[in-house]
Amino acid sequence: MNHPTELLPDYAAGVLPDPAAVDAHVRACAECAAEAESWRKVRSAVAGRAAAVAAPAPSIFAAIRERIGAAEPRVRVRTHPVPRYAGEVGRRPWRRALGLLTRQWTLVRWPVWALAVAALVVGGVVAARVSSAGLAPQVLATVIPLAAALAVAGACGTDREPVGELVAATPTSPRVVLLARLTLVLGVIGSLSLLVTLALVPLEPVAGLLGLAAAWFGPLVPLSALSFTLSVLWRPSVGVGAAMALWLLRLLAMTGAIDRALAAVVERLCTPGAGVLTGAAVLVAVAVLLSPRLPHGRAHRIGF
Amino acid sequence: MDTTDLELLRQVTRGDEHAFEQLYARHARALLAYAEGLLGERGPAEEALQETFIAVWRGAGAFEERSLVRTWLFGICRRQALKRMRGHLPASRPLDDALDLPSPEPGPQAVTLARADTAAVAAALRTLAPLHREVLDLAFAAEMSHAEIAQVLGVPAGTVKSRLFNARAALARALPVEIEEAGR
Repeated sequence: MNHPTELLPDYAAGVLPDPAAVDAHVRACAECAAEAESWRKVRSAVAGRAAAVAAPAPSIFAAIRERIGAAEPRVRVRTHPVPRYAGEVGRRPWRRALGLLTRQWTLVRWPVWALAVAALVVGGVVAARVSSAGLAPQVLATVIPLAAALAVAGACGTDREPVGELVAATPTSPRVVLLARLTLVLGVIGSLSLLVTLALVPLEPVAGLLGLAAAWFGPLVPLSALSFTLSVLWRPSVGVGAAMALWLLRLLAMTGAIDRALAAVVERLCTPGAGVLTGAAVLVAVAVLLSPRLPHGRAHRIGF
Repeated sequence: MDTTDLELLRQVTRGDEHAFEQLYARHARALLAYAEGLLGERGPAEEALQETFIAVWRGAGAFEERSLVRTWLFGICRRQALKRMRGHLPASRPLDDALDLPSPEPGPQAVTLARADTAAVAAALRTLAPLHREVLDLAFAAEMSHAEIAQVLGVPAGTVKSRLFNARAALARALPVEIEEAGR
């Protein structure tokens, strides 16, 4: 005999859509009658336990109402394109900062480092060779800021690096990552430049260490800030282009090939001072603040 | 029946608190009983119920009408209850579910249970593993179809069937021995 065993739980629960056939079978088959009876026992025990559960207290719905009233989810839904990064800094902030910087070191692509170091070495050698003519400060002022601006654009400007997705998925804020990268690049280039400068001091006793350092640090600040801001907010080629334009203007101003008024403005921009430093800091801060909110790729899509 | 669950839920999507309260009045008790069956404690079950309806208020728009509203509610409640479960729901063991398919012939466990005392069955029910208790709860207290249960548990309908029969077998095994022997 073909027993409707599988239908019997629903039959006992009374939810079978068409119980007539099963009903007839159960009446004729003692085994299935026992089966159905067993399910009925299970059902009454289960339903009995559920019925014994006290109804929810009114305070529960009151609590729910209070919470949805307090939250007002539908009204105040705000899209946060930038997730909040509220991770704890932890017990060893310096260690963490160091870890962040060393990791950026491996993430910045090697040609950036190679080109920057090569430019500094070549610049140092050329400066040493022309130091007898007193031109070392000019050479350093030309080479080092340009190397820094290019490296900043290469290291900070692109979100299309192979590990970009991975970096974006880490619990570290993208702003912190960007700042760490800028710090690392400028830190490395600044340190190397200082080494080159120190090596040149004996050859350039007139300008001295301070004079030599000021010569390249002055233009480095606006060039790097410009390159960083435009690379982050727009794209690296724009940052590099703007920095090179300023660099070229400075070069022309030094050789006296352009209008004197314009040359004076460029010269002031390239002289270290409170105004220039503040302006550069503001530019960098704006770029860092805006960077995670930028719809990455939009500029590329519309053809820039 | 006046307003259907689906209509109520649509009103909730538009921020209708009265509809929300009606939906709560209809289902809260069954959901609480289900959560209490899973968790075995009143306090966490009430919390799960509360979180379920807060999730409903916030996520009513996400209901895709691919299942019954009730099924959806039980699904949310289940997730909330599992979050509060001490330890874990013993992972459903696919092999058990697959191997112990209900035999088409009536078995001796049925006879044992059929002759058992209701109070003894109720006592045996309390010793059941949550995995088994919940499938019985959904079938006989919430009176869901196997397809609905399958949606709540996120398993195939065949698994629901075998789990039901396994639950009954476990229940029969948990009965006092003398009753089992008397049944043979």
